[in-house]
Amino acid sequence: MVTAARIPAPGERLLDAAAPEWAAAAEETLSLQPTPWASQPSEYARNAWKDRPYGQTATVRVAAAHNGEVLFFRLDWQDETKDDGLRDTTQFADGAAVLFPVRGDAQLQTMGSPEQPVNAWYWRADLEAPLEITATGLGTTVRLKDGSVSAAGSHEAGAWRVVISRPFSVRGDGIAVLAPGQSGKVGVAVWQGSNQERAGIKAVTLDWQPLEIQE
Amino acid sequence: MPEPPKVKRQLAVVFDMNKCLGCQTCTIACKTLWTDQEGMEYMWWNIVSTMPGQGTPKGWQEMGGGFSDGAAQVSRIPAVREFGQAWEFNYDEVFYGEGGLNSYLQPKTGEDDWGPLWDEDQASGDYPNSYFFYLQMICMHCTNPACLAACPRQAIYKRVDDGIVLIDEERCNGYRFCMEACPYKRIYFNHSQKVAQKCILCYPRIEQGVAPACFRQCPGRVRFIGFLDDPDSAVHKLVKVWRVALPLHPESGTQPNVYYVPPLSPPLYDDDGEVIEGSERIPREYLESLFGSDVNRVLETLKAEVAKTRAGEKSEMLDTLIAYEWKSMFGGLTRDPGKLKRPT
Repeated sequence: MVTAARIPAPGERLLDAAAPEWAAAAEETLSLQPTPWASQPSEYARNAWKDRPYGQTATVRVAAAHNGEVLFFRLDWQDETKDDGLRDTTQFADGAAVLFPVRGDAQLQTMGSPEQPVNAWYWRADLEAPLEITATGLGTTVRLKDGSVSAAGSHEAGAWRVVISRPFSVRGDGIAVLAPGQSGKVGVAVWQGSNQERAGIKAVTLDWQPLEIQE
Repeated sequence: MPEPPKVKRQLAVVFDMNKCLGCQTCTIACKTLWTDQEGMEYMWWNIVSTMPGQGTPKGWQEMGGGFSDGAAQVSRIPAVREFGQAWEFNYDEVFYGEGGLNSYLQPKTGEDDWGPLWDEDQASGDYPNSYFFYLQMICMHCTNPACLAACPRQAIYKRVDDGIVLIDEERCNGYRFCMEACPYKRIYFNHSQKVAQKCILCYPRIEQGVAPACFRQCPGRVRFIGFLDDPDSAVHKLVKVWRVALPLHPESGTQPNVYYVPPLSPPLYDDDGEVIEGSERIPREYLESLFGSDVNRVLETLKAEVAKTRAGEKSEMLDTLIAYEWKSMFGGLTRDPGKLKRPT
C-alpha cells in the first residue's frame, strides 16, 4: 500500500527529496520484475532480448505525499551507473515512471486498452522536463502536450532519488483524476540506461499497487 | 516475419556502379539540403563507400539485422564513431595561432584511427592488379522494412502511393530498435531532437515531380529513379526487362528497392606486365558476397552487350545506362527544382 500523506508544505519544498518534511511520509518497498518478454511489442525486440537480462532492478522504495494541491511520489532505486546523457547512439538514459489507470479497471500489463487508458508521469535523466503520457495498449504511448508534471532527480552513492509530481487539478483526455481522500492504484517502472533499457525493456511492478491519498 | 506493408506503387532506384566517380557530390547535395542542422553533424543519409572496404558505418555488413528464414535477426546499434565522427579541426591553431611549424592539422579531439570514409580510395589486391569500386548507399526503402517491423510504436511507415519509407518524428521516441534492425545500417540518431532519422528519398521533391537531390546533382549520371511498374521508366527496363540491376545483400530478406548495376573489371596483368585476356580484376566471389550468385549472369550480359557495341551493333541497354539525355533517367521526375514555388 502506497499512502500519500498530507504534508502542509510548499510544492517546491516537497519537490526536494532531501527536505525534512518528507520524514512524515511512510516509505514502501515495492518489488519489480522484468516486463514479460512475450509481451514486447516487436519481434525484433523479443529476439534481441530473449537471452539478454533486463529489468533487473529488484525493488523501488516509494514514498508519497501531497499538500492539498499537488501530489508527489519519491522513488529510490539502486543504479550503479548514472546515465543522464545521450552522447552516443548506443547510450540510453536512466528513467522512471509512475502509472495510473485513467478508469478503474485499466490493465497495467497491457498498458491499458482503447477503452481503458492509462496515464504515466515519466521522468528521464536526459530530459529537461518530465513528460505526461497516456497509453491505450502496448506501444501506444502518446506524450501529452500540456506538461504539468514536475520532477527533480539526483544520483548519489549508486542510487537514483527522484521526486515526480503533478497538481490534482489537471484534467483532460487520458489524464487520471486524483484527489485527496481518494483510493486508487499506482504502478512503477524503472529503466537502466546502462543496459540500453527503453520502451518495454524495463522493470515494473507486475500489477497495480493500492494507493491511498489522505484527506 | 511480418507481412510486407501494402503499397499501390513502388519507386525504385538503380545505381550504375560502372559510372560512379566517387566524387561525393551526391553526398554533399544531401548534406546541404537535409542534414546541416544541430544533432545531424555526423549524418550522411547518402554516402559513397570504397569497396572492398569497411563501409559506413564501419563493418556494417557483419552487423546482422534484417530477416532470415522469416525471423528478425539480432544486431546492434552502430556507435557514432563507427559512422564517423564529425570532427572539428584545429584550423585556428594551425593557421592563425602560435603553433606555427610545430602544429599540424588534426581533430580537436585528438588523433584517431577511424573517421568518415576513412578507407576511401584504398584499393585491394597487389599492384598492378589492385582494384576498388564505389558503393552508393541511401535508405533502401525496402518492400519489407526491418526498421518498420522492429519499431514498437509504429512510428515508421511506408507510403502507399510510392513506397517511400518514412519515420514519423512525432511518434518516434528515440528507442533505436530501427537502427538495430536495419541490415544496411542506414538509420541515424539525432542527439538534439532525440529521434531516428534517415534518407527520405527527397519526398517533398518527388511530390513536385523533381528527382531527389543526389540524383539530380550526380555529374556521372549514375542514378536512375522511377516507378518499378512504369514500363517506360529506365529502372523498370534495367530491373525487370534486362535484369542487369541487382539488390545489395538480397539475403537480408527486406527486399530493398535500390538496385545496382555491378561493376565490370579491367583485366589482370601477368608477371611480365602483359594483359591476361578474359581475366577480371575484381574477384567474382567478392561480388557474389554483395549481390548473390546472380551477379555472374548480369556481368556476362553486360559483357555481351559491350561486345555487341564494339562490333558496331546498337545496344538499347547500354544506351540507357550511358544516359545520353539526363531526362531519360528519372522516370518523369524531371521538373526543374529552380522553377518551383518556394515554401514561405
